[in-house]
Amino acid sequence: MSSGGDRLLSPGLIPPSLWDSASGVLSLPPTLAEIYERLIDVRGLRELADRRGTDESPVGGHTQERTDQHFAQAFDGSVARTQLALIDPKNDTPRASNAFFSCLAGNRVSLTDAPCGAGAAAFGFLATIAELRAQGVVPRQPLDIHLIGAELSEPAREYARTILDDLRPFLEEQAITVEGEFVPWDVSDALSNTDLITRMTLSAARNPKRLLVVANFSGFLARHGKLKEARPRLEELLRHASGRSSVAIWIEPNMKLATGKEGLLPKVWELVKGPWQRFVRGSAREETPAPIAISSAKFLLPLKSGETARVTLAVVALDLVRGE
Amino acid sequence: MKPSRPGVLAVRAVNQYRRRDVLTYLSLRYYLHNSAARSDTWARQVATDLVQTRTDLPYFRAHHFKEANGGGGIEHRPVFLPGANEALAEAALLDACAENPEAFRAPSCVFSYRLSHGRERAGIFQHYFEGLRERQNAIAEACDAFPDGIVLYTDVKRFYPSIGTELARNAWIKQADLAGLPGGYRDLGEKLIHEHGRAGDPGRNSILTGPMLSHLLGNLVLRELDDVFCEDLPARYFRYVDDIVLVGDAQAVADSLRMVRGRLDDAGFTLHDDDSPKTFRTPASKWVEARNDFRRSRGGYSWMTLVADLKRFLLMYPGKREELQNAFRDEDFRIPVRDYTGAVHEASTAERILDLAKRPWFRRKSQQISVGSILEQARWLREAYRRGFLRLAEGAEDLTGFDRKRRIPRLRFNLGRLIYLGTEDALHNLAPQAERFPELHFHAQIMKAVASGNIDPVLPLGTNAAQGAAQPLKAAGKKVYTKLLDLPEAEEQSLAVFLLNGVPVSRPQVPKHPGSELMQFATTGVDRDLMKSQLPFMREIACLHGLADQPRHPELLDTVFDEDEDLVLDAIEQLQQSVSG
Repeated sequence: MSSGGDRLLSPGLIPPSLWDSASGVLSLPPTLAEIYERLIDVRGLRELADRRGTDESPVGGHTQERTDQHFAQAFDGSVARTQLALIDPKNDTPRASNAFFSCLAGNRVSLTDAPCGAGAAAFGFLATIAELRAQGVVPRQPLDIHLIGAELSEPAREYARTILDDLRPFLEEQAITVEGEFVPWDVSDALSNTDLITRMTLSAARNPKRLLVVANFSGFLARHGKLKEARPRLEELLRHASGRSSVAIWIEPNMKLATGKEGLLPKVWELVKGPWQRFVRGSAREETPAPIAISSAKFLLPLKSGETARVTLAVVALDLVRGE
Repeated sequence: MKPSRPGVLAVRAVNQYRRRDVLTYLSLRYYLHNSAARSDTWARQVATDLVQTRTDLPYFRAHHFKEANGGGGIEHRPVFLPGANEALAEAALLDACAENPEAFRAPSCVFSYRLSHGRERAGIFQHYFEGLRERQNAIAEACDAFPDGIVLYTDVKRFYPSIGTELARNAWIKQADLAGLPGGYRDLGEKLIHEHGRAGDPGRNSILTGPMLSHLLGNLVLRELDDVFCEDLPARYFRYVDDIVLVGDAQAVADSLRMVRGRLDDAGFTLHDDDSPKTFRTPASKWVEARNDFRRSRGGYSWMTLVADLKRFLLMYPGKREELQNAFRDEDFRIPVRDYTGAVHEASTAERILDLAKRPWFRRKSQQISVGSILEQARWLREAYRRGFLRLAEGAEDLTGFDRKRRIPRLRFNLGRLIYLGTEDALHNLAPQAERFPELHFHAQIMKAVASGNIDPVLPLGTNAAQGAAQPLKAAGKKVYTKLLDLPEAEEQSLAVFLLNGVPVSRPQVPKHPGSELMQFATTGVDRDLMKSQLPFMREIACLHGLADQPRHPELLDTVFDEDEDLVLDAIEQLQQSVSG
């Protein structure tokens, strides 16, 4: 895995379709933004989207209502957060950025997004990579993704399937083929976790590179006090995902729940330094404080022309390699 | 933002593969058209990782002309061309090897495939001509030391195909461990060797002819023997790829030959027999007449000066490209005039020219270069090479042994340049004279095709010959034709090369279907199906090209990648690459 020293994507090469360097504003990948807007209108969610507040984003849930609320009011921010980690225009998260590019440059990749929600993380970086290819920034090497989207909410999984169907032609134009499956997953249920791990293992047999993305989980794990309960499942997930050419990237908003002293990411880092060290590694095990990279930017709201919102990012890139 | 100047590794890969074959070169150009992929960091981290984690074998099996075997038959050499990503990964891998000369530099008696290092950009390896010239000088010194001695030439049979993957792997691991190569690079080399064995022709399990790594492996597998031969033979030993030269007293040479033959045999290699035409002797006193054969010419103009002035002119005046091209065409010259616009407008080049312009010699030199001065050189050289060829060809058909070995390269030297400089009438008249020499078959067929526009003499030879003809024909703006209806694989590949270059080809009938995927790629561009080709090489190059109604190949071949991209003249280079392995 890359060291994050030299950037694989120099900020100066980010095209205007994704980043306005003069104003410091992100734009979501145009194709994904169009698909999102179309789906919002098809599902009659425009009004719900307009009621978006400036307080904490909705976390989502397994009902249609809560899923719709999250989709209408937070999906774009989740996409922007992932995009920020990938293209890192301010050079705040070079290690994560390099890890993404190394994983997603080509070949066969097993990509697990857990929890995937409506697919903001996975589609965020796939659509961004595709846009970078379309703009002549990164080469169009054949990239075959087997995507496993693991999510408790069936309505969210259904959104993810729909978005993938609409996004697929654009991805394929840029030599990215995606075979996607969206499966139910409850992080606190051992059997559910076993099913997911089984799928990941089967996928890894055909796909030598593995990327595990955990995104926007702090709301559920930290706010609802689920980390202790989920910890053994997360450990299993990371352990089974570990091996050669395996990487995990954990993305959260930069908020107290995620990055505060008792926040999720520092707790995860303590596990990495401690009981997880045989199969997970950060940039340096001894690093203190935890190597959590922080960034933020404004992004153009895809549903409100000309308006922006702020997105914050906290990200940790982990090598899932077997150690001593 | 305009992309910054490419890294050293990208330029090396482009220069090296430009000489090998147009297909990998095109693939690299499409890859490196992307701004982030041009950095050394990308080559070292991404390209190498992609080779390590790939599950397919993206090689294209091309037919290259090897030799005419008398009676009208053609012998091809199968060349396995890597795709762009592997070519770039190779550049990174071999650069890492170059950082460890004690493990990877060949002994001083070996003159071929020396790794580039530092800021050198001419290729992954240093230019072959430097090694040839050094070898010539070294042999001359040995002849001086043994004025009554003999010089013996011999050759290893089928050198690269004889290198099994197990032998290559062992040699690689030994040197990688000696160098302390980081694990990633060590494993990468091992993986590539393993995949050579899988990708090659069935039953062979040897390293591939085509990728640059094979040339390093060729030096590594002979490393121990070279060390012994350099130091311990009674005669002096010189090796260039598979060519071996021994210099010394007759008995010393005989004893050395026996030792070399025996040790090579033990290692799985076979020298040509004593009665083979590839093995011959000449007295040292006679050999020394050839000592200056590789010296640069003095007096008058030279090919080097013409090419250097051409490049300098286009760097300084990229907007005058069309003017120069028209001037060439008006006088029946067919030198390619490439577009340096993209390279020149980059900040580093402009700054450099501004800096150079402060120096009187540069201003003096730049004032001297013009369309007129370049044409004057071309006219002078055209006549010099025509006369040179006629003088050298007279009575040369009956030459044998060392005399013939000296004469043939000089004939090729003149013919290769005449393909770009000679009038159509001159080529038409000289081609039959060239055909009297089997070793000049390659050049003779190209001359016929260039003079007449009928490419049928070239099509059966293979892609290297096709590129040797296509480049000057494109520069001349000439339309060509073929009468062939059926196209076996070599012919079809060759035809595709003409089309890739943008040479308009008239065919007896337009086929309903494009034929092979290569032909489709060359003629109609890329569609979604080609991007999903089951042939990994074609899939990669099609994806890198991207969906388009029209292929972009001719315009890409017209532009340079970087100001340090060499002007490669294929009718000269392609056969040299074949001869050098």
